[in-house]
Amino acid sequence: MEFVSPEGLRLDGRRPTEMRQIRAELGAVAKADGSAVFEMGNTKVVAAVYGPREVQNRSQQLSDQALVRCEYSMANFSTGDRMRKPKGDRRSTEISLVIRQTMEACIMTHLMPRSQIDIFVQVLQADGGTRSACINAATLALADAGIPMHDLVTSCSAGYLNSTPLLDLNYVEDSARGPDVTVGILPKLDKVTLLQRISCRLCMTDTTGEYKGIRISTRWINYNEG
Amino acid sequence: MEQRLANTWRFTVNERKFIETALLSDLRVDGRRPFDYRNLTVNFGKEDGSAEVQMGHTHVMGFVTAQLVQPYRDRPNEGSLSIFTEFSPMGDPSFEPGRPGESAVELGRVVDRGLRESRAVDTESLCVLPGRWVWAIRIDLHILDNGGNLLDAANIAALAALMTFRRPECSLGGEDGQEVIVHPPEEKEPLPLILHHLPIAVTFAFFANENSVAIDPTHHEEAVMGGRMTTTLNANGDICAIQKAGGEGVLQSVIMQCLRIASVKAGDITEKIKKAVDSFNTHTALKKIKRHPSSIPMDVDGADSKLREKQKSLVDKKATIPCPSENVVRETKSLDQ
Amino acid sequence: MVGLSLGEKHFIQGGIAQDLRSDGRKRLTYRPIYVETGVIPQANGSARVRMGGTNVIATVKAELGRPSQLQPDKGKVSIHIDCSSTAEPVFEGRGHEELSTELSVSLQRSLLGGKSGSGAGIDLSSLVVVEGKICWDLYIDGLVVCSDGNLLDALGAAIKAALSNTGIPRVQVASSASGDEDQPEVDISDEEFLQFDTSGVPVIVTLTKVGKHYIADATAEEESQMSSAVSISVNRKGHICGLTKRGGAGLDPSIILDMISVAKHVSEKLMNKLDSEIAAAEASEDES
Repeated sequence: MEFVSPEGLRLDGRRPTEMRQIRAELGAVAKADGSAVFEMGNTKVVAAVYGPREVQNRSQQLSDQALVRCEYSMANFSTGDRMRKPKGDRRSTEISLVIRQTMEACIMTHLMPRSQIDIFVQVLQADGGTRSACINAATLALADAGIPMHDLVTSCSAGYLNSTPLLDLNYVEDSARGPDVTVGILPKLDKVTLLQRISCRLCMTDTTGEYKGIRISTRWINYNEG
Repeated sequence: MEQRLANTWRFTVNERKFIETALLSDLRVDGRRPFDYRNLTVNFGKEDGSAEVQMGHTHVMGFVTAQLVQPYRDRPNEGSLSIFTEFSPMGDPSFEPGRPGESAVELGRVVDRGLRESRAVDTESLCVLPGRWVWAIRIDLHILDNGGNLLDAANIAALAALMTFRRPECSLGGEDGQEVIVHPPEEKEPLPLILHHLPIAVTFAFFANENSVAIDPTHHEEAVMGGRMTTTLNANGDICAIQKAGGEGVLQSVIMQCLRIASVKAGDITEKIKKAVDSFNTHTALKKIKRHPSSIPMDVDGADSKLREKQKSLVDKKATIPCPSENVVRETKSLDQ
Repeated sequence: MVGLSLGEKHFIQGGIAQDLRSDGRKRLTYRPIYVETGVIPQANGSARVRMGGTNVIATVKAELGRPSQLQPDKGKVSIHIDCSSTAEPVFEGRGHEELSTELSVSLQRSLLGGKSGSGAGIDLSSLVVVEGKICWDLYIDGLVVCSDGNLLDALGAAIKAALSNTGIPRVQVASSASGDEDQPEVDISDEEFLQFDTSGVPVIVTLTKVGKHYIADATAEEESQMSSAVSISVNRKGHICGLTKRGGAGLDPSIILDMISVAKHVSEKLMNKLDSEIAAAEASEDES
């Protein structure tokens, strides 16, 4: 299948290193301490942060840092075909873990010992790049909750199809099963905190293009925060 | 959730500092240098498709089994490959019996990504009757002892088990040619799986101070480290998967450096696995010869060489030209001595 | 869970007794309702309803299926509600299941008809394509994104809005004459859509009893003080379609009768408000 036309445009009319339209909204969940909606094209996720608060399960309390927990779930209607999977399958457990570890690295957990921070991410619509969208939403929700962080993590995916590096894959491009990578960076420290790569062949040539895209998203998020 | 805490519990500040400061001068508590692997031994069980990997104190067992099932509707002519992990409480007190914990799920998913998404196993050759019957390969990984870096050990165990696994041959029969006949191993020699390449997982640990990096972290180092990255590569240097799930941020240049080191290590480990598998295969081939001691020597030579020729071609996939039978005999003799 | 001090509890109860609730409403006034339609483009119909802090999404997905053998002339509708853990941390893992099931069952009772399928708010016979062979299966999924009381009313409203937003593709039966046993082939049009008649879909009014009085559209704080709650679903004709009671405390039958007449009155206003909101939402969606 042809993913890049001879004119160099992708199926949805984007250029290879162009991101989808991104939109963010803070305070979408009134009851939460911090919340955000993040959209990347048709992918739409809600994140809510509760905490820092008292540790619910005393045996988990940490005396030198905050306990960070995360749950990722997908709405039944989020995918094209209606999902009938229950919560907590292997994929969502892994993504929960990935989001938790990514956020844990940027929260100043040592400032909030004996407390707990819960991050809940709900996918409303999945159109590729849910992992990235979730991390971006979680960052914004944490910022909205006023939780001290070293930096705002921003994330984006990229792939390699038709020997062209493509930024921010949508569902069709994602399911082509080409190589793809999801990167999460701490832009101010210029460090990579999350890196997941799936599928084989070809080396890391596409990271550069992706880096550029993440820059854009970073700037955008900073602007949104300001 | 509770598992990650149990690990850090019993560490004192002194112990942490000791490990971290030692790393600054390129020393590790077990005397390795930062980019050395621990000793790797691969053993095989009596049956096909079981492997036992020992890496330092880490001990992982891999079992491969196959079953005839209906294929997925969207891939009617492909077999399937699934990975299950079992973290026995015997391996580490923090592992709880019952539902797989977060780390068990992550381990399974990373091994799965390395093997399945990079299409290391040829799933199309597992098809018996398109749309009706395919082989479903199941890999069970049992963690017997947790000495750190379970992922690499589990990955090696999975590979070794896959390489020695033989599935029974089956053919189509019956009136309409739709019936599947599975031949028992006595009747027809079981077939090995087709592995396109061997994706090797190499894990790096990142430590908070001065960006020190170490390969193959032990249990103690894992308790101290700030972040971890697992890269899955094959001997050709193709990157099959990377997993760095959060943790300490790392510079891009460090990641590239790690990838270069990983590709060298992947080559070494591939060699070791192949060697172990080869010696296992010749061993089983020899066993089969000894099974008929009462036959007349002349006959044994003829029948056996044929058998061994078959074995040999299974063992060494690259050897497409069947070697002359005398050669094989000589080879096995030299191994005998 | 809402943790309230003794003073706060008294304040809420006292306010209700004096017909002036803590957010300034009267006992039977609803919070402002905001409706957005078409929020999930992947679904056949979707709507988001906000009432104060409560924020729910409902979607309708239609799939072609086989009618059940008992009712060959009717389509199938299922309602499933999920409570996202973003709404409340206790919903994490399996914590949401109890409430989700309770809400699903209440909504099924209120919106779907009896076992025979007659009397449902949704006209099930309009979902049949070929009798006994093909029908539309409607999957109604609700998701609670943020919960601040009165989830049932909000979900009922969201489902009503989502149904009126739903377009079901027109289906052409290609070859009905090709044997009786086979499933006839169908051609699904992606241009022509049939709209639903949602005038029969009831609205749900929950009256929550706090102290001696009952209030409409309780917030989470008020719900924590309730003794019992009665949810009444009323359709446009003013007929009662469903009635569920939650909470352990007993109610005098005369109070229930009184509640029903009040609910009928309130539902009329709610229905009108909802219809105008849905119309406005549809209009703004068409514009954009």
